[in-house]
Amino acid sequence: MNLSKQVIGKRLKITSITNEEVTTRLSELGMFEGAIIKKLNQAPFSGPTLIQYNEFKLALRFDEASQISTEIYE
Amino acid sequence: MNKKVVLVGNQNVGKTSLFNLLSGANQKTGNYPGVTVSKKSGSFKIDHLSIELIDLPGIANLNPTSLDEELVLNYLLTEDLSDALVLFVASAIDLKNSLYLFSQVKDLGFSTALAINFEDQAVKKGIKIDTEKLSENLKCPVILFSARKNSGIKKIHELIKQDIPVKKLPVNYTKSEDQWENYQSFIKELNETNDKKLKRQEAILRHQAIEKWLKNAVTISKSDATDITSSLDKLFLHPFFGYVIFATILLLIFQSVFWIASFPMDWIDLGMGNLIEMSREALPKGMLSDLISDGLLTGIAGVVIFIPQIAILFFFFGLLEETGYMSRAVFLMDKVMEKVGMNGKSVVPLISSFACAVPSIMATRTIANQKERLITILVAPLITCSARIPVYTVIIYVIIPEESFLGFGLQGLMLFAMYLLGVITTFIAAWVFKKIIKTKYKKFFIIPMPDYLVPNFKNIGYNVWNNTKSFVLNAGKIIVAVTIIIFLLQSYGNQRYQQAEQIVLTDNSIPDEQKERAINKIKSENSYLAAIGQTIEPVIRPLGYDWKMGIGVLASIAAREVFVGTMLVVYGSEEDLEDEKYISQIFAKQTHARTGKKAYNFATGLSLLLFYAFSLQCMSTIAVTYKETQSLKWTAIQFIYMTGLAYIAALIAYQLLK
Ligand SMILES: Nc1nc2c(ncn2[C@@H]2O[C@H](COP(=O)(O)OP(=O)(O)O)[C@@H](O)[C@H]2O)c(=O)[nH]1
Repeated sequence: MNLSKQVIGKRLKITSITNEEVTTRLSELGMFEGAIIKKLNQAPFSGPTLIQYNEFKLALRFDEASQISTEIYE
Repeated sequence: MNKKVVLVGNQNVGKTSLFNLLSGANQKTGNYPGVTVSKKSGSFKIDHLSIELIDLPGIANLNPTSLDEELVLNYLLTEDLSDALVLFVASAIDLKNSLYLFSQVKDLGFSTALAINFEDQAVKKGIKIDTEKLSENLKCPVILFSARKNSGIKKIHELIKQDIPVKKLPVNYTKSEDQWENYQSFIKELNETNDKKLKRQEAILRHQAIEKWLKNAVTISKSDATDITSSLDKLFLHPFFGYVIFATILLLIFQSVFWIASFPMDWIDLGMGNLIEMSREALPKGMLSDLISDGLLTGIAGVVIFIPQIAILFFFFGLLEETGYMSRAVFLMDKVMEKVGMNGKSVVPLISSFACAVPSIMATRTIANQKERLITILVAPLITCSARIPVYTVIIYVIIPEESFLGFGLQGLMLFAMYLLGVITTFIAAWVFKKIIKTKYKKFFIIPMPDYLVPNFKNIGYNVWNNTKSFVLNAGKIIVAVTIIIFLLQSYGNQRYQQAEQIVLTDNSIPDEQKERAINKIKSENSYLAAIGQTIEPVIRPLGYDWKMGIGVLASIAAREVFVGTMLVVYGSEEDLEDEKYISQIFAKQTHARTGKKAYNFATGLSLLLFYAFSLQCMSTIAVTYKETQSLKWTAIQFIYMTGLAYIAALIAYQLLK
């Protein structure tokens, strides 16, 4: 399921990223396919998604978050 | 002996705090030439070594996605830094992320040192950093410090005094030895070709290297400290309560800027008024005395009066930034503001515009994206500022009957409609600018979300001080100059102006107590400013104004609220009237110099209201826009689009209603 639709508070594994620009940007932050992230929050009306990777918290715009496929990681 | 030290680092790593600690009050803020990105430099001494300290904007990495990042990269690639020290500021809490940019900067081949901030937080979180091992791995000096606790600053001074040799890290991220030798030109090329595959490969290799460097140098013992930030965010970012809280915070700030500031502003008003009186009495009567009292001192009063609002606004702005709440505001408001080309951070300046556009435009400095900052600057003066209120109320009293509609007073509804009009136009104008202004950068899509922190009031203090100082020193000069010019145009005139005293004193039909008023009336009708009013009469005629109103409109360039006072002088009434209802009766009596009908009927009144709603009749705003954009072009565009809009709206209103 894409990141913008995922439930809040769950640990997620990035399975694929469809946009090359997003892939590149995230890889610079150390987030590659397979990285475990946590979704912390979602702003309403297609607003940004807040995630945490390691100690780093960041918000992604809706368009970008929609291009990141994730699955729930137990 | 001189040495240049350049601070480089990610956002929110404490660069500003370190900058304040090192340079104290010796700071200069400005803009990079031609762009709305702020630049900071400071100076201080360590023993006999004079240090020039440059604070570059915080960036994510050396592959620019914003103008800030491009500026930093350009600075590093073009500036002569052969004798300089690049002091890289990292965060102990998020060292992995910091080291990405660090390794890129180090590979550019400067004398580099690593200063890791947030020592205090790291201790709390159970993060142990072995600086000696890390220094060995990274082939450069590494120190730990805390800008908040003011610890480790001595170590930073020692670092700055040293001559640190340039040593390259062993990992080659390029395709050949040659490229690696010239990493500067490699990265330049990489950004021109935008080879994403190569960038990704570099990212993978760098992250592998970072893992290796950190492995034997950093240990994290799982601490049981709860994550306060996450709990607070549940509330502050709540899809409903988050907005309620945000609205409350904005309301409080608005009230404060508006209300708390009114006390010191009254004192300043009174104090400057007395000072002007005193200088009038102390100096021998004549041109020089007038120039000093009514030109220079009045101009200075016009600058000083802004200080309370600016200081209070920047205090709150600093507070929001320091606590980390500002990023939450961006998170909440981003979607709405993005639609009209602005940014969550634009909300606070726009709200402040209800008080005054001057501090509001200055407050846009924290908006990193240059296009969003520019749009916010361009549209902020459309919001109804407090200087428009006297003009609005007097004209509304004249043209709107004192009746009520559905229990609401019509006059109040009209005033509300004017406020609403300002807000709606602001959003429309922003949307139009979003379509027009081109940038090669997509809007940022990654917003770092710092942890909540107890604010550091020293940092806030520097913020207030720097902004107030730069307003007084930069925009202040222009405001004083324009006030003097307008004063001169008002105090010289044609023959009738010069003989005003003679004419009135020899005219026995005027009773003595009205003589002074009569003199002022003749002077105001015959000054050079009036001559300009008469010259532009053909231009304002289609709006329904006569040349007398033209004088008022012209004099308002100094500041909108001058309109009422100027008109009263032109109409030969006492100057200091407080009661707006009484003033409006004087206005209502006036006849139009050309048509002979009432000067203020519904058509001309509405035309004036619209004109004042849209036109940029405020030289302080013009001066601040110029200062903040460093661009004559954008200053002119702002003036022309607003005045054009004002003219067209007033024209349509008058022509339809007359
Ligand atoms: N606890 C703690 N907070 C710090 C330290 N250094 C800076 N801060 C805070 O971190 C926040 C960001 O700092 P700032 O200097 O604005 O970072 P910049 O964005 O890199 O310029 C502010 O709230 C600072 O007060 C530190 O050593 N310890």
